[in-house]
Amino acid sequence: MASGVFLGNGAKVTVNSVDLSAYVSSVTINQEFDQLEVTAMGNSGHTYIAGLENSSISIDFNADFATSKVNQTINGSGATNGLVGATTQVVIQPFNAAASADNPKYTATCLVTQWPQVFNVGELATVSVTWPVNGAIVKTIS
Amino acid sequence: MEYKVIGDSLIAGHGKGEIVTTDELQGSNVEYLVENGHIEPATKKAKDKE
Repeated sequence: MASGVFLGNGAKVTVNSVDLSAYVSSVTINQEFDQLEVTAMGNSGHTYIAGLENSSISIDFNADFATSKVNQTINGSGATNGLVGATTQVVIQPFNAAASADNPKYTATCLVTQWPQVFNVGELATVSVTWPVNGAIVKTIS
Repeated sequence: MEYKVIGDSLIAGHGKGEIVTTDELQGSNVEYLVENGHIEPATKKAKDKE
C-alpha cells in the first residue's frame, strides 16, 4: 500500500462499524504496556519487562449532528448518551483498503469514557477524545 | 441475519441501500445501529422498497 513514507490523511476509522473517517482529523493508536522493573543485584542500570497492555485510542473529530453522522453515531440520536459510557469497537487502518502487511488493521474494544464537545466562536466544532482500550489491541494483516 | 444500510455513513464498508450481514458486524452493537438509523433488518418489506 505504502511504498515508502506517506501522507497520513488517508486513514480509515470506524466506530461500532460506522466509517467516520470523513470526520476524523487525527487518530493516534497509543499502544503501551506497563513497565515492570526487575532490576536486581548485579545490574548496572534499571531493567524492565513488559506488564499488561495499557493502550488507548485518541481521535479528533469534526462535529456533525446530522442523522447517522459522527455525533449521533457516538452520542446517540435520542435522549440517551448513546455509546458514551459503554464499550464499542474501534477499527483503524492507515489506508481505506483491505487489510494487508502494508495496511494493517488495528481493532480495539474501547470504553467510551468521554465525549467532550467544544464549541468556540469562529472555530470548527470539534470533539477530541482518548478512550482506554479494554484488553489488547488486535493487529491483523488479512 | 441481514441488514440494509439506510444511513449516509458506510457500515462495515457498505453504503446506503446495500446489505450488511451479522458476520460483518461482529463485535459491533447492532441494536444500537438500528436504533440510530444506520441500518434496518432486511425484511421482505425493506427489500420491496428498493
